Amino acid sequence: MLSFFSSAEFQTVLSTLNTGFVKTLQLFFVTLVGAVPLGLVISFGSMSRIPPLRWLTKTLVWIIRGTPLVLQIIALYYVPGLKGVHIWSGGESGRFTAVAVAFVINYACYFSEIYRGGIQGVPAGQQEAGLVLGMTKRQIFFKITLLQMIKRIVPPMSNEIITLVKDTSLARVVALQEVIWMGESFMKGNQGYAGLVWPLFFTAVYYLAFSGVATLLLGKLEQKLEYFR
Amino acid sequence: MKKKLWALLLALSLTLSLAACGGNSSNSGSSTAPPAESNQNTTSDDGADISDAAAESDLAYVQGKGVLVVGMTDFAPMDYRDADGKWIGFDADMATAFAESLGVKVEFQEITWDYKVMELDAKSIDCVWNGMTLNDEVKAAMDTGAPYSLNAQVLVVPTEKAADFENLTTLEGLNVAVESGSAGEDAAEALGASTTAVAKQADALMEVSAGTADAAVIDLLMAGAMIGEGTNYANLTHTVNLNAAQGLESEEYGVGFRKGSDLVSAWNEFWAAAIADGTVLETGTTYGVQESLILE
Amino acid sequence: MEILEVQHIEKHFGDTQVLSDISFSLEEGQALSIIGSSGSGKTTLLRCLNFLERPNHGSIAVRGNVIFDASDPSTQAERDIRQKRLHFGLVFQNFNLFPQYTALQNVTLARELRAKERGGESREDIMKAGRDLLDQMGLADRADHYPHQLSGGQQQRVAIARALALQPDILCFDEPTSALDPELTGEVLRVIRSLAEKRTTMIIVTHEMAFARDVADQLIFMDSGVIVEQGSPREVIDHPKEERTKQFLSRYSNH
Repeated sequence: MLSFFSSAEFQTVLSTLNTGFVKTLQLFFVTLVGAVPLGLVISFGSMSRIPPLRWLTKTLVWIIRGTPLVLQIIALYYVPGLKGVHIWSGGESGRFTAVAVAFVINYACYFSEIYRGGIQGVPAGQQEAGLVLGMTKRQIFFKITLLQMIKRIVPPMSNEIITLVKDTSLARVVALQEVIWMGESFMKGNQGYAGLVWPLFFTAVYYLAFSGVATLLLGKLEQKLEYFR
Repeated sequence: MKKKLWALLLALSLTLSLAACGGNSSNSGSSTAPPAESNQNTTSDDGADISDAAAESDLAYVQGKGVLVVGMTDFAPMDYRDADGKWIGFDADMATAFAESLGVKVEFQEITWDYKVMELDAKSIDCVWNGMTLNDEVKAAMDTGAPYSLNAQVLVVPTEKAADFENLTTLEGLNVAVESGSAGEDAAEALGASTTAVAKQADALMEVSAGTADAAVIDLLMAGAMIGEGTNYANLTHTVNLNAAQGLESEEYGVGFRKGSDLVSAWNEFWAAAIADGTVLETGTTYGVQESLILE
Repeated sequence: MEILEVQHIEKHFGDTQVLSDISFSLEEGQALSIIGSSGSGKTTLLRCLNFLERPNHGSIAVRGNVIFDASDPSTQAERDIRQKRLHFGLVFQNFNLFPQYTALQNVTLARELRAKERGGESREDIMKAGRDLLDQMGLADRADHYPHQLSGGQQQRVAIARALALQPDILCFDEPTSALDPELTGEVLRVIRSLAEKRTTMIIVTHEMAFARDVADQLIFMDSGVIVEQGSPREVIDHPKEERTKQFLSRYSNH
C-alpha cells in the first residue's frame, strides 16, 4: 500500500489533480470575492423603494435561482459567440472568465436573498435608535446593522459556501479543467495512464479536506460573533 | 387576475422559446425541419451568415490571430497526453503539421464532446479533429475535409463471457453503456439494445468492468488502445463489429470546420500532399492506426 | 421661556386618523407626562417630534424656531432633518440598545461619529463624558458589559444615558418601564425622577399614574388621537373634568 503512494502512477495523478484543484480553488475564491459584495448590491435592489428597480432585481433573482447553474454556464459561454460577439478570449482563460462570471452572478443572487433575510431580521428599532441619535443611513448600516446582519447570515452562508466548493465541478461542462475533469482524464488516458478509475474517486479527498477547513473557519467566525446576542 | 397571470406566463415562455430558436438558427440546416415558413427565414439568414463568413475568410481569420485552435478530447490513440503532458497522437501530430503548413501555431483545446458544434460556431475553436465519425449530425452542422480513416463500432464485453456474444445480430435484452451522442449510441439503439448513456467512452468501459452494464459500444480504434492485455481493462475484450451486424459500411473519420470555411480546401490540399510524401502513413504507423487509414 | 411649541399636529396612516389637532407647549426645565390608553396616539406624537414620522398638518417650534411646518417644504429638507432630530432625545420602550457594543460604546458611539465628522471633542473627552453619564445612572461598574449581560432595568438606564450623551433640548420617553418586569421599574423611575430634579426638559409617555403625578409639571390625557384634557397633574388626575378622563383613570385607581 505504501509503495503505491510512492509509485510513479500516484505521483503523476496527484500532480495532475493538484493542477485541477488549483483551478477549482481559483474559481471558488473568485466567486466568493465577486458574489459577496455583488449579492449585497442585489439585495439592496430587491428592497429598493423604486418599484421598477425592485421588479427588475426580483426578476433577475427569479431567473437565476429558477434555472440550473449548468445551463447558465453553457448559455453565458456559448451564446455570445454564436451571436457573433466574441467576449471570451479562446482557450482556458476565456473559459475560466466566462465560468467565473456565471458563478458570481448565480451565487450573488443566492447570497442576496440570504442578506435580505439578514437585514430584514435586524429589528426596525435598531435603525430608529440610530436615526434619533442623528446618525446617517450609511453610518447606521455600517456601524449598527451590518454586524448584526452578518451574525444572522453566517449559518446560512456557511451552507452556501460548502455548496459552492462542490458546485465548482459544474464548470467542466464547458471543458474547464478543474479537479473532477482531471480525475476523469485518467479513465480515457492521460500522460501514459489509461483506464484508471481511482483518480476520479480520489478527488473526493480534495473536496473533503477543503470543505473541512471551510467548515472549521466558518465555525470559528460563528463563535467569534457569539459575544453578543 | 388569474387570466393576467396566465397571459404573463405564456408571454414569458414565448420569449424564452424565441430566444432558444434564435440561438439555434446559426446551427444551420439541422435535420429536424422547423415549420416551412420560419424554415425559409432561417435558411436565408444562414445563407447570409455563411457568405459573411466566407467573405471574411476563415483562413485569413486564423492566420490573422496566428493560432489554429483544435477542439478535441482525450482520445487515444488519436489525441492523448504523453508523460510530459504534451498532446500527441495521430490526430494531434497531423494537426500540428497542418497548423505549420498554414504558418500558425497549434493550440489544443479540450472540449465537451456534446458541444463541439457550439464550440465551432462560437469560434472558441477553429476545427474539430479528434477521430470524429462523419455522421449525419456532423455533416449537417459542419463542413468537413475528405475522410482520412475508417472506423467501426465494436461491442466490448468481459473476456470470460465473450463466447456468449459471438455472432450476435441483435442486442435486444442487453443493457449497453455508450458515450452520449456517439456513433456507438446510434448503432446500439439500432440493434435494439437498451442503452445507458455516459459522458465518455472510458466511462462506458468502467460500466462494463463494474458490472453495471452487460456490454459497451465504443470505437474500434479506441478499443484497440484501451482494452485487453497490458491495459487497465485486461478483463475486457471486443467481439461484434456492429457496422457489420447492421450490414453497414464502416464509418469514416474526418476533420470538421465551420460551415462555409475556406479552411476545408486548405486542409484537403495539405492532406493530399501529406499522403503523397508519406507523412500520413509514417505518423499512422507510429500510433498503430496505419491499417485504418485511407491513403488515396 | 417656551422651549417647545407644537401646533395643530395631524397625522394619518392611510385612512386612519392617528393624531388630530394636537397643540401644546412646554417650558424649559419642565416635565410633561402624556397618559392615555394604548392606541390613543401618544407614541405617534413622540415619533413625530423625533422625525420618525412626518405629520400631515401642523408645526413644531423649538426655542421659537420653526423646525417643522407641514405647509412649508423648506422646513422638511432631508439634509436638515438629521440636525433637527438632535433637539430631541428618545428612550424607547424596548431600549433598542446596539447589541454588539458595550454599555459605554452604546453611549459614546453617536457622539464619536459626530466628532469624527466635524472635529471638536477628543475621544478621551467623549469617553469620559460617557463614563460620567453611566455613573449618574448608577452603572459605573457595568460600562464594559454587553446589553445581553444586563438586566432590563440596567439596559433601559444605558439607553437613557445614550440619549443624554447628545445633550438634547428635550428628552422623550416612550413608556420606558412597560417592557420591564415590575420589580425592575423602580430603578428606571428613580433615574427619571432624578433627571426631573435636575430640571431636565422631558416628555414622558407612561402608564405609571402615580409616577406621572409626582414627577410631571404638566400632564396631557390623550384618547383616540386628540388631547382630551391638559393641565397640572393634580388637576387632571385628581379632578378630571372630562368623562373620558374619568373612565380612563377609574381603570387605574386600583393601584
